Amino acid sequence: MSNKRAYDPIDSTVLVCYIFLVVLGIMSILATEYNGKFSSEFFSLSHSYMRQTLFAGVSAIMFFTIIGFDRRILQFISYPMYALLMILLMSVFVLGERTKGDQNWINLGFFKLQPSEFAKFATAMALAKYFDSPSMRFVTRKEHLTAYAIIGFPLLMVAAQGDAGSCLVFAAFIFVLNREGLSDLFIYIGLFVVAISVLSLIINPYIIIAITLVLFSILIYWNWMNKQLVKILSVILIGTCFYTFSVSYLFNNVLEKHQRDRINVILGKELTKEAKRGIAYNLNQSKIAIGSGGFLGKGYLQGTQTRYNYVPETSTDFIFSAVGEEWGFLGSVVLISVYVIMLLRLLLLAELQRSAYGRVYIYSVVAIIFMHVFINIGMTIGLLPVIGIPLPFLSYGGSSLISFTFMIATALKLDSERRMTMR
Amino acid sequence: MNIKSNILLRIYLIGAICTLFGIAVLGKIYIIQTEDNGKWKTLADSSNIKKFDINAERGNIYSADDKLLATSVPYFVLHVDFRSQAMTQEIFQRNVDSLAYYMWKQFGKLSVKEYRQKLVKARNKRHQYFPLCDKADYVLLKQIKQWPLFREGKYKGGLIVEMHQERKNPYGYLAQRTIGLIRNNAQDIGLEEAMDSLLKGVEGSIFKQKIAGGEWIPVKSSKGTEPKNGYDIISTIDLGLQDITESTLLQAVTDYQADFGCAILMEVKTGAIKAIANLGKNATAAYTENFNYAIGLSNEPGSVFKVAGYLSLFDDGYITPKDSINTNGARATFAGRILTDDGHNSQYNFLTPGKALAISSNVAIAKWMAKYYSDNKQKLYNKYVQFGLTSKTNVDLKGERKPFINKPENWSAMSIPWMAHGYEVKFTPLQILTFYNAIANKGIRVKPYLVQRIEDNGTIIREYSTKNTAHKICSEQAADMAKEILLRVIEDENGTARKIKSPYYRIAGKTGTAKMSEGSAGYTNKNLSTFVGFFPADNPLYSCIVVIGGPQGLFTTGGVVSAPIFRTMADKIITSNIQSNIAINKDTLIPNKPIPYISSTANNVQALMQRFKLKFDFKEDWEYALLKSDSTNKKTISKINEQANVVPNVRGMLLDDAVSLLENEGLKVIFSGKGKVATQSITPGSQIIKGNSIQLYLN
Repeated sequence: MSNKRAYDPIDSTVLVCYIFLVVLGIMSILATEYNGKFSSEFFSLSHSYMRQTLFAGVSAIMFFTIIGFDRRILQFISYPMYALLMILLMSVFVLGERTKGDQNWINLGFFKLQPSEFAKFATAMALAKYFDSPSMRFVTRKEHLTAYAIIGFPLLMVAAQGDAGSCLVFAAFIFVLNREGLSDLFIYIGLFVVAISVLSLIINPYIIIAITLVLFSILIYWNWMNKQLVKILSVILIGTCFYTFSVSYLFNNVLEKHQRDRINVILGKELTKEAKRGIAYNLNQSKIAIGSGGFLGKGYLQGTQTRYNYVPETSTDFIFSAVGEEWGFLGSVVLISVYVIMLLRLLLLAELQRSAYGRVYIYSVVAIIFMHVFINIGMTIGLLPVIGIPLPFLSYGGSSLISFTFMIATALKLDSERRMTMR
Repeated sequence: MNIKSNILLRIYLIGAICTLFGIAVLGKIYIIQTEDNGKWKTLADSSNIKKFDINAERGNIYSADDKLLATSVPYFVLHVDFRSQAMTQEIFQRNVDSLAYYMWKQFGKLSVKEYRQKLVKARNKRHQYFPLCDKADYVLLKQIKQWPLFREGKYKGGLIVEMHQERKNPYGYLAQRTIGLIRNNAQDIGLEEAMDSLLKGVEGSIFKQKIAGGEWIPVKSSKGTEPKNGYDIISTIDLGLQDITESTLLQAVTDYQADFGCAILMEVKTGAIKAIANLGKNATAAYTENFNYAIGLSNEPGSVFKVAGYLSLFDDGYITPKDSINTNGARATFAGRILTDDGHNSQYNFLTPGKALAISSNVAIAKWMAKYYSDNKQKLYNKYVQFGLTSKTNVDLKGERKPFINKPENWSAMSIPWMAHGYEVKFTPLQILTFYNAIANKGIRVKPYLVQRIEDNGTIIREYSTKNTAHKICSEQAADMAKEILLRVIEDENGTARKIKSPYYRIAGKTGTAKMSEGSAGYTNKNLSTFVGFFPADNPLYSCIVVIGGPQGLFTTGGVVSAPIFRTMADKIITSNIQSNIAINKDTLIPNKPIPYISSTANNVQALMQRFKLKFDFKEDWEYALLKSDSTNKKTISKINEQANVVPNVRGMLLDDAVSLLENEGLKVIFSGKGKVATQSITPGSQIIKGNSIQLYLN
């Protein structure tokens, strides 16, 4: 009881990281819009940075409200909230507005609601609630299917809306399930499928099949005695052969044109004129911005590329290029470090939770944030295809900031109750 | 496997995947930001900062009497950007009806409804460059900026304003071919072309940086260069004389329904071209300045060239006006080819040079020339060179045709007699005039010129001087003899131009009638009727040539057609205000002329006083001064704006001066036009109400 830290109601490391990121976000959005002149106009709500500040204020109120809630209330509302968000997600098909080919907004007049952002939060809560039941062992087929359904339903919804980014985020829940006992095989297979998909778009499918054949032949030879494994390996081998051939079909017929373009940009393939002007241009401008920042950056408010709107959607999806340009490699490293510290700390807190609810929930939050950060930064630097997905806490947008605040606040609330009981 | 290590393993697995991704991301960022930094930086700068040209203001062309012959006037081309992000549908809907109404009211080509339809269509298509008005002056632009939609502001309204400059000739077609034209889709011509390098100035540049919304703002750190405005050109053209010349010529070509006409008036002593008119019949049978015949038409001169032969004979001392030659009834044979005179010249046998020239005898001059130069062709050719007949005049225009005289080694046995009466050679009207001018000028040939002064905002940059170009082409006696026989053409009872004899002053000159050649196609049936000479012959002031191409009628010789035109011009010139036109030494004469009031900064007035050697009671501390002369030509100077809070008189000032004076007094200046302030909308002396706007019209 002598440990002073134990008295902290909430985890200060995560809180500091959170505040750091939100403030840097507002600063960076300001940097993208600042015209060098300071006037009374500066505080006008017509500027994104002022609106983001307003959202941050709303977020602060939300934060304290959630901290003030009883844990049991959070647990109690998990399912109803999940149900509500799923209905909202479906209603997007009817009420939604399209932006850039994605249909995922509901216009409330004063606010454009993006249900998919909140659905991630609700899914984490619902999953946590499901794992929290005393009889849950995550071994029976029913338990597995129910867990898949909780994640799969919103995943299919956002996929149908063409929101590839959110789709990947829901897919990240596989890490949570893995922690709870899902076989590692799923992760390996997942990674394997991704690798095969990428390779078969770059290399001749026959070469991939030849390499796979050789590799698996060796594996089967080594494990000849283990009939079970040989069976699995054989199935995978045959599956791979079929999949390799179907990748190009899927690529050309299932993916939409703008999605194909985004992948082609990364693969360095021949582009359509439209793609050259659109997506390739965006990416190139983003790289110019980040690249011209150099090691130390150009200095705050000194950026030219992001500030003068060279990089499209700087304040939302490409906010990292503003950071990269003005703060340089050093700033990028600091930013990524803050994310890493926050995520590692959350991971630690998750393992410290005594209830399955807390653990699964915080794990989910880690998976969601990690996926967002990785995809977003990956796309701004041309490592991954451009997928419209916000950088948590930094990107401009009320839905995004408020829903991430919900996630963090709830995680800290669950943890704070742990501290209370420890005391 | 126990549960704990299993879970730990999974955390490690997840951790490993995250680490792998993390390394990939950081590595890529590192490569972009440090390894490739230079490449991206270059790309950033190149897309970011651009050099913009600033157009220099083109200089003006003035006449010798300070009238504006050519000037640049700004106009604006207006477009609308319906793709402007700030122009919301709400803003558009709110304004479209009233905008259509304003467009109908201003342009009126379509109905209000049609304008509205056009606007809505353009808006729906998100037209980025919708043409609104292809030519608006400054005043209209100001109004349009206040129209619905556009008054919402630059971004919401989407109005795109581009400034262009248009060249205007305030005196219309007067000497237009010579003043010239600046054209986008055709060759530039005249002084505008020849003096382009001086007129156009030097473009400046400015570095600009692109900022949000696609707007370009100047970069503070890099200065660029200021544009250098073009020089003003003060031509030798005297608008009064030009008007006389051009209107007389127009009357004549219209009367004769000629193909074209050309008249040049030159100041004998200096070679300054005081007037130059070139009128050609266009497709609609109207006469316009369509070609610079004065320098571009090279034709066989016919009889006007005979005087070159006589001058050569006189200068070489072979004959004097008292000698005579037997023309055998105007018939001679050269190398087997018979040469005769036209008309009634067969009644004569013995002719003196004067009589021969007066009746325009071909045989006389042919025989004399053949007699003295057949054995010495080179000597004759050298004579032509000495007279300046083998070289261009190098007047300040482009496109002058080179004179044509065969080299003596190519001369046939008939060349000398035929050249003697004006064939086998070709000259432009200006080249012929330059030669006659030298006779009038006692054998001193001066180069014809059109630009007397080049000024930079009132400061003289270069002044043309005749001294450098004047040279003697023959002895004074020879020139006098030539003048004496040229007078006979008008004053002899049988002279071909006897009808233009004036009782008030003497004219010396020569008629000429040649067939118009059409290049290799040979000769046409049309005459080229010429009269060239000078007046008043006793103390020649002006030399002048009148060339009429293809006159129609019974008699179309130079004596019938062109000589009377010459006389009409000469009469008008002699009688109209001769005092002000015979201003040869302007430095001493101008101060005695009445001057309009000039008000400007004290510095300018001071410079003016120095230039004209005027003396005034002028105080150094005056900021603005007014210089004027009254009806008795008494000049006074006074300080402007001595009373406070009274609108100053800015008429006659340059725009910068006027604006700084007026804006210091708290008035807003709206101006239109170019040059000096001609009118001001608030009367000088009225009480100033601060913040009011005053309109200035410049001219």
